[in-house]
Amino acid sequence: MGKIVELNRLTKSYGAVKAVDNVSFSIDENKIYGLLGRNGAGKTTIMHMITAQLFATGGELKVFGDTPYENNRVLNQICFIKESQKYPDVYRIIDVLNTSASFFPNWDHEYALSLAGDFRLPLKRRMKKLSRGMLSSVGIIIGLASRAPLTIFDEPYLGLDAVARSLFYDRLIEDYSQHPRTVILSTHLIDEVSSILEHVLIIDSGTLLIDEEAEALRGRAFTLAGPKASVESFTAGKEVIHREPFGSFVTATVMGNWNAAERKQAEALGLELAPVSLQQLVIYLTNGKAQRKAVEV
Amino acid sequence: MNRVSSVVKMHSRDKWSWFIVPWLVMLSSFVINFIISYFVDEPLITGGLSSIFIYMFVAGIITLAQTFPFALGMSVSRTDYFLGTSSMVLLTSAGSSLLLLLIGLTEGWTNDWGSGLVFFQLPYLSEGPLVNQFTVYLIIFLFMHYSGILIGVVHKRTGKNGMFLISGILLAAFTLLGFLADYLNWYPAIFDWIVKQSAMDYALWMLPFIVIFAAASYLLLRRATI
Repeated sequence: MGKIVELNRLTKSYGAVKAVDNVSFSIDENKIYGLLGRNGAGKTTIMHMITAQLFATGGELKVFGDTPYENNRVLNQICFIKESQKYPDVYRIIDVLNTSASFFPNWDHEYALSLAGDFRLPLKRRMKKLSRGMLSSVGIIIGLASRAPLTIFDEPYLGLDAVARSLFYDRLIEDYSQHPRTVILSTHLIDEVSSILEHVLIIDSGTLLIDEEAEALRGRAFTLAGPKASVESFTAGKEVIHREPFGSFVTATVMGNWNAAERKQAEALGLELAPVSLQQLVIYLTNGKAQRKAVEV
Repeated sequence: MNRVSSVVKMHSRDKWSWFIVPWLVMLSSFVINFIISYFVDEPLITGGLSSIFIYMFVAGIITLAQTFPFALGMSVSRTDYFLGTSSMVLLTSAGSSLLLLLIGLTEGWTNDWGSGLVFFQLPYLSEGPLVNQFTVYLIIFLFMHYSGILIGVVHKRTGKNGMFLISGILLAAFTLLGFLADYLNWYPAIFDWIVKQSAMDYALWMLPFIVIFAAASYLLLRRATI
């Protein structure tokens, strides 16, 4: 599989502040990536650099094997949908879609119009008059209908209701399976997208914390549920990242890659094993120290 | 698909800003002046024509703020954006110049609209052969447009504070120059030169400025970020 994006010690600093600090990772063809992290972690900055909308202050960046800056061969293949995307005030939705049609080589106009119907968008309404949710829907439609080999969604659904969000996930999966491409999804609603993601990148304070397959990442921790005494005896000496008492029962999330013997032991103790949610893992990893301390006390 | 032409298409979707509003503004000035000219005995010579040129200056400022972040977000390169925008500026300027010329000729044929209103064929400005008139209009349009675009780009790059700083420096520089001209007794020579120039001469003097403004805009835009 070809590498579509390659970051090598990429850095972006504003004066003394390093928004992105020595980040290296690569992105493979035709996979769905999750770029996760807290607000201000540097996710959007990284995506802006990949699309040549911001300039790196250090390191190397290659997109489709080349620098993306002023490079039409590269830019042609990218569609970057961001929450803060500006549209000309006087444009109507249909104007934005028609314009996108001439900018993206793989654009499917019929598909765009059918999506607009799904999201119930008034095509003749001016962009200036749209609600936050409608603006987000327009972005999502551009992202999907552009069918760009590298499609990046940065917080694409601000203000969207749950129905529209699940519509987005459905359409994304559907269209992705028919027209495979690389998708980078950056979001705070980790639980909602965790089933879609194939690979997870976690950024915190400008540095890369995790670069792992979603499956492997899920295997890094487990949730145990059972009587308090059994849970405590089993988790003794292990790294507990989350604990929630429920009457005489306790639910605990424990780090570690468990072997079969350990699993059997847990089952023998009458404990229920469940995979941990990605969201919990991210919360732990990006806010780890504070939480760990709280548990240890 | 050629991206420069896509940028032109993008601009042309905004017919109001590029075509309708400037002509509406100027034509409304024309209508008012036309009505007034019926009540005045002497021929009425007005400067209403300038409104369309001033509008083009404003349009230049607005265009960038409105469409650059959008175009960049749609994966358009900065060079293509600049070339596309420049093509659009050239096309509309040429179109508007041609229209002005035709309406000016109509003004002549109708004997100043039958009411003695001189609106399009102004003395001094519209002298010389038709080609000269067209060129003068075209150059003024381009000059106004690129002045606006340059201001838009400078604002994009330096923000509000940069604009304040640059305006301050320019103001100080011109004030100093004014004093210097007075002190060194340059004014008689300057006025002498000014009165000798024809409209065409002035237009030709604008050409190097258009080139400088366009080049500066492009270079600044090359490093502009969202």
